[in-house]
Amino acid sequence: MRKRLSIEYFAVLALILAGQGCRNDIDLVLSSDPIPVVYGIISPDDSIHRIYLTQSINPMDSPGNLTAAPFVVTVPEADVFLELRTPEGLVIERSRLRRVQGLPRMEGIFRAEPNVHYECAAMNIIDPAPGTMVLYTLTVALSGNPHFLYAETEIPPEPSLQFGKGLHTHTPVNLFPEQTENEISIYLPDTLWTEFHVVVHYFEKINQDWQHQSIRYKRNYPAVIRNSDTRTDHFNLDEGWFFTLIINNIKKDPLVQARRFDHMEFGVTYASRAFNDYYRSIQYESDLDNSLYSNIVSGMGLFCASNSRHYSGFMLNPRSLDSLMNGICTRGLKFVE
Amino acid sequence: MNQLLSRLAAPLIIALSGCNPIDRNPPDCLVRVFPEQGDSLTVFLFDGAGSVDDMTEPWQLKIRWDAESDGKWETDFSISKQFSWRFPTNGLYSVTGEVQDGAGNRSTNTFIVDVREVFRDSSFTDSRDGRPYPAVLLVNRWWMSENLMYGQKTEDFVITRPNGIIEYYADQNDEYGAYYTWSEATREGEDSVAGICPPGWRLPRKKDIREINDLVYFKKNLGKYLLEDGILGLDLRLSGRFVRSAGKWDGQGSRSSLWINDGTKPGRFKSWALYRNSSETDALAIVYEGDWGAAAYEGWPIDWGEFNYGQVALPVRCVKDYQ
Repeated sequence: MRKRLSIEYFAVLALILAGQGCRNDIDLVLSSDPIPVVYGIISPDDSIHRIYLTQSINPMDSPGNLTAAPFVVTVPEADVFLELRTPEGLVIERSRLRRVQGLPRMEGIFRAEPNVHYECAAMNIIDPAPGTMVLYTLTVALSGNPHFLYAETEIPPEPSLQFGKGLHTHTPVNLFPEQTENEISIYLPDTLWTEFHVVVHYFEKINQDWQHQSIRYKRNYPAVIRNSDTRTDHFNLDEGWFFTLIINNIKKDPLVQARRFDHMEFGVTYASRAFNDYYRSIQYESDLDNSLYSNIVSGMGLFCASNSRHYSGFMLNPRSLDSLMNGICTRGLKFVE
Repeated sequence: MNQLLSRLAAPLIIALSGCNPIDRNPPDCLVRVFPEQGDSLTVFLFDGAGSVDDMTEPWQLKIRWDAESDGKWETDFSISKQFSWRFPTNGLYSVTGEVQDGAGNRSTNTFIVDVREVFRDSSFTDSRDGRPYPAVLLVNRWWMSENLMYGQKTEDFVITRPNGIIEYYADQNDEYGAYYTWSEATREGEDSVAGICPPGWRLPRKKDIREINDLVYFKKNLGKYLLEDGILGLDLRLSGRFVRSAGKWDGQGSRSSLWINDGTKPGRFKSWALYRNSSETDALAIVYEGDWGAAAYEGWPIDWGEFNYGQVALPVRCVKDYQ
């Protein structure tokens, strides 16, 4: 009796498992064809738009290696076009990119040979009016077997910063006033990735020679759904922030005879949603091939756009400079007037 | 043995019918193409992401593509729903997408892609007087890329009236072609649709202007697209207008206005204004005589009297629907 029951239950269990097991299958098919990879960030500030196009000869390769390791990539011959399309997709301007052999790069994407890219003169329509969206489309036709890549991106509008009444270009900044005077307001569009940055420029005197140095501070605001009250962020250029930045980034160095503050620069960059998703996928990249974001149809990689604006020439007033030179925490850094 | 079978029967029925129903319904293959029309350099995007099935989750649906519906599939079945393709020569292409659900049921959807020259330069001859005109195909419409010059020139001081002769004014240097009053442009009021256009051609309508607007929807740098040697080949001239009542030539070199006709209200006067140095708020605009602020928009000084399109002569550009 016990034996018969066991057979029955095993039979039913097997049937249920068999019935459920055939669902939710995922076919992991590995293609033996090379994987085309595109990498391109275009900007209204470009005089030349550049697109990096490679393909992996190793179908097992990870996306990270595809864009970094030189020995697994080749640069295909291709027809590469940058187009301006209406929202309905009508092509109203098209530029053919030409293949260019550059010098080997020492860092960044495709950091060694073959450093071949495709480029064209910048299209002159990349400053959209408020409320309008300009779409750029990248198309690639690989030679040989028909294989076409497609990607599109919006051009972000030109960003701007709102400065408090104490902040003016070429006017010395007082780091010790009412905080609202040194407040910078950053508008954060919901669908765009935003970066706000501050660059402090200074000089170091080494062997009687003044050399330019800089410290960069930045804040990123991913394109996520935000509370409507937080569409604007505020940055206070107060003494606490400033001296902390200096102390954390400039170290005492016996070779440095003196340092001299020069000026500060503020900037804001908007980047299209694709960049936001790519950036975040890099932050959380795992071993899974699909973890790296791609917006290239029939290929892999990133095609996106950014738009930046910089405000330069912000000085320090005598009291702030004096604190930098003689303050307890910073006087060891040898800042002079 | 019978006892064993009877004990197995119930769980078997439950397992086979209740817990895992058989999927016999094919998925709905919903695909779209972007754009629907392009030329032989356009890479088209095909997207089957809208496909659905009653049993299989959308992301698990697989799709494959046949770019020319010749039975030769360009892709294998894949959970990736997008596919891009370029057609080498002009023509109508039938594209097929086939979607497959988890049970292997399939359905297809076939649609047409139009591959042709979207922008094309050409020319034609007005059979009435043998005058040749350049023309440009903009999407679905042929546009004259030169102002019409048909009829008989008259002096600035002459008030044109219905007399069976189409009359026009011309600027001093004959630089911008002919300027017609609305009465003359509509064949002395007899035909507000074709007007004085060459046979087979007609006056532009509001819809035609909207199509041009779509091509320059980003609003800045209009001149780069629309004016002489512009990207669209329309070669609009900044021909301004002739204000007959004031005897003034106005706006030459700074604005473009053309007669258009709104088919719903034939005979009304319309103007299409284009400004060279367009700001963010300036765009192609269709201005009606009765519009609020039209006089100010048109820049109509008080000493010219009451604003009235009947006192204005404008150039004419004709259009022809693409066959």
